[in-house]
Amino acid sequence: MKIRRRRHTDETFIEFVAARSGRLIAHAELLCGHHEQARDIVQTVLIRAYQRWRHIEQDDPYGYLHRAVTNAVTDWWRTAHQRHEQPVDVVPDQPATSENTFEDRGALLAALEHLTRRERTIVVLRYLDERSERETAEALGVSLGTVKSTCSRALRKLRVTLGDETSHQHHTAASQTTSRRSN
Amino acid sequence: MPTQEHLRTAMNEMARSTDALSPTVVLHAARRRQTHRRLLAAVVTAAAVTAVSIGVAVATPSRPPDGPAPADTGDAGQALRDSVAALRGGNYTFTRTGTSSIADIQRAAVHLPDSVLLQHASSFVMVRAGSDTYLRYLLNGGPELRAQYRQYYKENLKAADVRKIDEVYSHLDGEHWVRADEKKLTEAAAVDEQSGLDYMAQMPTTEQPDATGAGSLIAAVTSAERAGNVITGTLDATKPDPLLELMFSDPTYLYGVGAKSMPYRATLDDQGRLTEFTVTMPDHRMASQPADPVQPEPPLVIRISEYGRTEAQSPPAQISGELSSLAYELLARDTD
Repeated sequence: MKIRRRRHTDETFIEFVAARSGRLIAHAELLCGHHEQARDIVQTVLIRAYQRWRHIEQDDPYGYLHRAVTNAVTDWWRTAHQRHEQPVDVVPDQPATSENTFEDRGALLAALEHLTRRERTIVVLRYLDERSERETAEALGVSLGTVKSTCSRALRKLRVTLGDETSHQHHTAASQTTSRRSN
Repeated sequence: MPTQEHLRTAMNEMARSTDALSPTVVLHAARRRQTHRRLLAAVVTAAAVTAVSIGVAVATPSRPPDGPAPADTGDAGQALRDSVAALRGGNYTFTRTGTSSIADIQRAAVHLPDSVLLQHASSFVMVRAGSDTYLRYLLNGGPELRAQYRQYYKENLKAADVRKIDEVYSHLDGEHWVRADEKKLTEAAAVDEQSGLDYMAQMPTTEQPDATGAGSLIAAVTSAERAGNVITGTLDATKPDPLLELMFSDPTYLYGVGAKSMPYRATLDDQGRLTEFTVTMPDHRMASQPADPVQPEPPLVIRISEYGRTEAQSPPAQISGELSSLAYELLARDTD
């Protein structure tokens, strides 16, 4: 006797994973700088969330998962530090250029690598997730002033980093041009 | 030079171009984990209770479970650990609300080894009396889903099969009592499908007399301060204990660093026995929460009473029958 039906919770869970897991992975990757690790973290968090999906889906599933992923990346940072591990694929293939600034994933991640964890988290919360300074402060348990000053410092670092890259690119290009001319 | 708008655009473009995970792969892994966790929880609950009991026995070797209370001047943590010793006596009444992955317990009456009553809701009650177990259960949880299921069966099964299913529904209507096999109920809950039984609490036994979960909570306590009969402090909900995970639903992921120092409040009676244990969920909200106010998580509250005075349960006066193998099959996926 066949008595199985497809469960409602599975349907909504599948829809959520298909629609939103990519954005969660990007969020995790921007925080940790490590694509495969980000995918692992998001998958682990989703698997855990499934246990109480019927409750989660009624409120704000993306908000819940987003918070869980942020916490999971923090855990990963902590344990990676304890193990003295350095991710191997944080170094991008392509550096930033003067024209594209953050045109590609590699350039963006390379620039974020110059930030501290807190600076990085604040920048991601502010500019990917469109959180206000106050919301970001509440999320991280820091003062509004800390968010303002940290974000400002992070942006300044990013500009300097890209400026250096740009100068380097220009310098290299200029040298090559000079070299070709002299040849 | 990057502007804030560049940054915003680049991050969102990256998010848009990031591939999603395979939903079926994630779902499959999640369902496998759910089954594994439930089975593991049943095993480790026994270990946790044993560990707490041993700790108490070593600390107070000459004191029987209902012996004199710990001295008021004693160490608060020790008093807390001692407070669950009376549960080993297997005679108490309790309620429990606010757990994450286990249904609330409206009332439980433990009288080991003779009987146990465990009521999750008026339409979800189990009674063990002697060697028999009885169940009162509303299949499918509510009238709407119940009607949908019955309609589905009527449209998709043969008439003879529908009659058999109707009989199960008449037994599991939330009002009648049926005789059940506890082992088969546990097996039905472990099936990798969604069922109301998935949220059923563990029935206590003489080997695992603490059905409250207080033993696991107290084993996770990290600080304790006593004022009269009230002990307050914090506990580490991230301690590796599957029962804790079920009660808090993976606390590290839900509460972040707050999970390591969740505030609790324990009340003892004049004999030093635990009568109430409340864990307050952290109210710290991450930025990912919606702008609208979010309902705070309710606290986890365990209330224990009637130590040594809980009466044995009699079998229900009227039994409408015994659960068939088909009934267990339906129970295994009744909210699927």
